[in-house]
Amino acid sequence: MFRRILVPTDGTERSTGALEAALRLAALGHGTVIGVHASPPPYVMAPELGLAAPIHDAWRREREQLGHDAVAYIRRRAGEAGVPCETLLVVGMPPSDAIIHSAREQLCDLIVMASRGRGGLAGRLIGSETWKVLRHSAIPVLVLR
Amino acid sequence: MADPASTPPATDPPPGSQSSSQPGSQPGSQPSTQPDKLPGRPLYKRILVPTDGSDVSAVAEHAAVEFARAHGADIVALSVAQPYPAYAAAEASMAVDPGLDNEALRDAAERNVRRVSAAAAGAGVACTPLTVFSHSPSDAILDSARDHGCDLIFMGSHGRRGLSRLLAGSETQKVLAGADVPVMVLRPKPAAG
Repeated sequence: MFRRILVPTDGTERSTGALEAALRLAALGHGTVIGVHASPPPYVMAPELGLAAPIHDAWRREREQLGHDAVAYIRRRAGEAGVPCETLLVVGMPPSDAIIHSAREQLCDLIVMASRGRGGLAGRLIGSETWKVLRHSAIPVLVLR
Repeated sequence: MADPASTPPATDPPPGSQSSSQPGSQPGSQPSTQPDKLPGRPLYKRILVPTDGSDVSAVAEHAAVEFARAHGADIVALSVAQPYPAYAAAEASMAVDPGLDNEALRDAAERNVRRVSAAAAGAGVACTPLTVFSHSPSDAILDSARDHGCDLIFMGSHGRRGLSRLLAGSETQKVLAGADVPVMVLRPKPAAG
């Protein structure tokens, strides 16, 4: 019943539960899984200082590697599950914006995500990015612990 | 909100933007109105559908029945009758007959549940109607999910009292925080955003 299922990943094991649920739902409904990883905007690092560029480059390389690994994992699991899969990396947006934006662009009809990701504060029961997605999403969101 | 003016390139596609498709299982060509046959063990077997009779919960109810039908699951429809908070003033408590109130609340809750039962019956989905009294809808939802062995909860992003997006959904948030099982959160139909 869901044809295009968006699965955000933060590259940690917190998102694997959501991925597995999305793959099962996609398999049942002959749908496609769309994996998305978002890199938030880089920190502002005083560009007038010479140091900024190399630090920023190193930071960006690390983020890019993380993103590539995260979506590569989704492609591999989708391949194993026999589920059609597309992946995308979004750079320069906070995760919740990237998720909402991608869901719209990719004409998704469901978002499957963890109740919290890597930014989660220990005391908070539901992640702030997840909560923002719930408030702004036009399509159903399946939230997993 | 992404503010392109203050943040660096909003979507900076080339470095990472990649798209790959793999021809795994071909999407079936049968009409989507046909219930999908489950290849194995169903993913979700019993879905809790809390309802408060609002338009938002109507969206959740409809989606839940549809989902249950496609996945061969059954439904537990729950309506929480929320007693009015006890009146602090003694005069007030004498003025209001709690028995009458509860009667009316129960009727309303049962009406809400009947709406779900009827929709489920129409779709050939088994439905267990449930009406409980509780001061805390979220606690009632979590308890009912546990007591009835539900493995999925379908609910609206906010309930009857969701006046604005900012205030909306405190009960939904409590359910999300406390649920051991996945929660499908549905937005009201006219998608603002």
